[in-house]
Amino acid sequence: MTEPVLEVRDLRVAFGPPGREVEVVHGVDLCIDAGEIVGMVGESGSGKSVTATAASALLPGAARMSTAAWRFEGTDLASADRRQLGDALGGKLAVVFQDPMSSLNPARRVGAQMSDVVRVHGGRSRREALADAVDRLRRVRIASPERRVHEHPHQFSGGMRQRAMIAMGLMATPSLLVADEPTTALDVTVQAEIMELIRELNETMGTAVLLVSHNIALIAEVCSRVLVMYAGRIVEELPASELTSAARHPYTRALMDAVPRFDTSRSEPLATIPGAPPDPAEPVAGCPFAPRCPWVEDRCRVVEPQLVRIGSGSVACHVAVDAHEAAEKEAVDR
Amino acid sequence: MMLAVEHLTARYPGTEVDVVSDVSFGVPVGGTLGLVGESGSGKSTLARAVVGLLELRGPSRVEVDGMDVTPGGPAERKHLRRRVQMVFQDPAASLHPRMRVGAAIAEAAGVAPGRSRADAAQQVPRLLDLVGLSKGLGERYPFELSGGQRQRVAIARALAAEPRILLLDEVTASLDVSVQATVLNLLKDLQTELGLTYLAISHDLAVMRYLCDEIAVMESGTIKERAAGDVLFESPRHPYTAALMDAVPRLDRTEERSFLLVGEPRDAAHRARGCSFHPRCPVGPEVREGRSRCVDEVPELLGDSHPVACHFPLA
Repeated sequence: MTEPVLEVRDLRVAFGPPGREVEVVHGVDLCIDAGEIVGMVGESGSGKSVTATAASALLPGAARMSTAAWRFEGTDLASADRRQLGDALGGKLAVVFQDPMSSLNPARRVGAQMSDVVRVHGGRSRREALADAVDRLRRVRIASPERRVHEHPHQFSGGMRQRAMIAMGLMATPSLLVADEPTTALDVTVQAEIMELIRELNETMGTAVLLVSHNIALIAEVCSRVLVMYAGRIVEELPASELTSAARHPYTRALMDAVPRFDTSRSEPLATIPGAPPDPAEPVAGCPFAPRCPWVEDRCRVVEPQLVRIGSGSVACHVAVDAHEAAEKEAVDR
Repeated sequence: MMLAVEHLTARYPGTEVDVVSDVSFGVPVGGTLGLVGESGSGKSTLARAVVGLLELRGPSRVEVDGMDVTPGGPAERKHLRRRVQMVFQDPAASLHPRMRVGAAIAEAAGVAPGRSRADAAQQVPRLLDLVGLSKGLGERYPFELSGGQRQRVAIARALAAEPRILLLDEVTASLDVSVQATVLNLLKDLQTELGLTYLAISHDLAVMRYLCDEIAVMESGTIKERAAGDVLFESPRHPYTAALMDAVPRLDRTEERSFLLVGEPRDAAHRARGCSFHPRCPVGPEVREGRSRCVDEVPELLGDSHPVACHFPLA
């Protein structure tokens, strides 16, 4: 067995002033193997972006983060200081966010920004680094890269900026790319192109990918494994190929049913999820999905379900686990 | 037709380029027409031109319920404003942050003819109820509401003027999928209940198929194909439509994409000669021989029930 690229155990993140902190991520385990593409899906406020940001060591100073274990390619990050984090992750962990404008410096030329990575972490000269930048822009299919490296971010279209962000991540040879809603602001046509690019990187360079998105169909297409988040917890984990056939958590199923598809009946109302996710400031008793769940039972409001391994996935749902055990027992009896 | 648009050509003030050129369509009473296309295809511009937010050119004509309301024409603005209301993607931007939502709805209700301020205020509980919000919500400010609730308020505000037509511009684009489903259901219910006519814009093809009776595909400021949603997505005839559909992520995708588009649409000032789509076309002159016609000749939108503007439509 190879070592995972990224491993985080019992991740907790809280925001707010001391004494009045609100925990928004409640004990998430995240493990990404080398060369794997993992998807993380959930709605706004589910904690998916905070989890990805925390695991990438990019949380703002106001956030408080704790883990039981946190390793990147075997290096312990939990006890590392800022400098050690930089050494461990610099050039090895690339990130792409929804709005590339917020991660690119509007006042500097694209080539100069791309060069920073290899000048700081790779000891390349200015000239060598710029040549690398041209090469990487070409690799993400940006036309006339020799000219484009001298331009500013505002001269790029939205899709080009996102490709430039990926190109920046490729300046070194990253072992993990964390992409947080990388195509949400883009047209579907550009989205398809960017996803193709991410898949290609994964295949040719063996870069593992953590793709965070609210779009469950996008995750299903690109990823091999899916983590479903709700109210700051992972409620289900399963192979992407089993999403439509074997999703066990009622939230996962509801999420898929709520999205219109090309074969959705037009004469019937769309499936909805009643109510709203819990307020992170209010303590939750039992299962956080219970107030909205079609299968809810009394115990769900009292005992919080833990992730239980079933077949090739895991699910945090009392009813789903019981149903599985009952089915197993029936099979054995027969 | 409740809404009829003929030869609509529009440009932004101070520019020399037509963003939308020679577009014609009709939407029957109680029907929904969807406009789809990439950013820059002109779909939002077209909607804004219909309500008079842009300069119209040439023989452009807009009719609402048989009445000529062409913006800039003989003072039909007031009529237009009452009959046609818009709902936008970001409800926070269209609601005054320091006005209670009930007051915002009452203000809009005051536009309807023969209504006093007191009458308008009395409409608020009915309008909130219509969009599935409790009456108490009228006392809140926009920031106290969720995204879905704010979009319902924006819809209530649009309905307050008793319009016949709603222009829906990406109304679910910034909502979570579970909230999106409730808003789409609401729009369908309101249409049945009030006999409203919709002109909807979205980049999400599956949402449009669900909401609309008919869909027009826009590219470079013109309509490239138009058909009933089911027909369009079962058997697209324009390669652009096929490429758009193919790009949509699917839960149940079994085959590889066959129409992956490379590059992005050109801006209005640099559109291609002939068919504006030809430089990116997956079956166009760049990749197939004998298709020089696409470079030389602008294809017309031809056909009755399923018109398409392509020299070599897909079978």
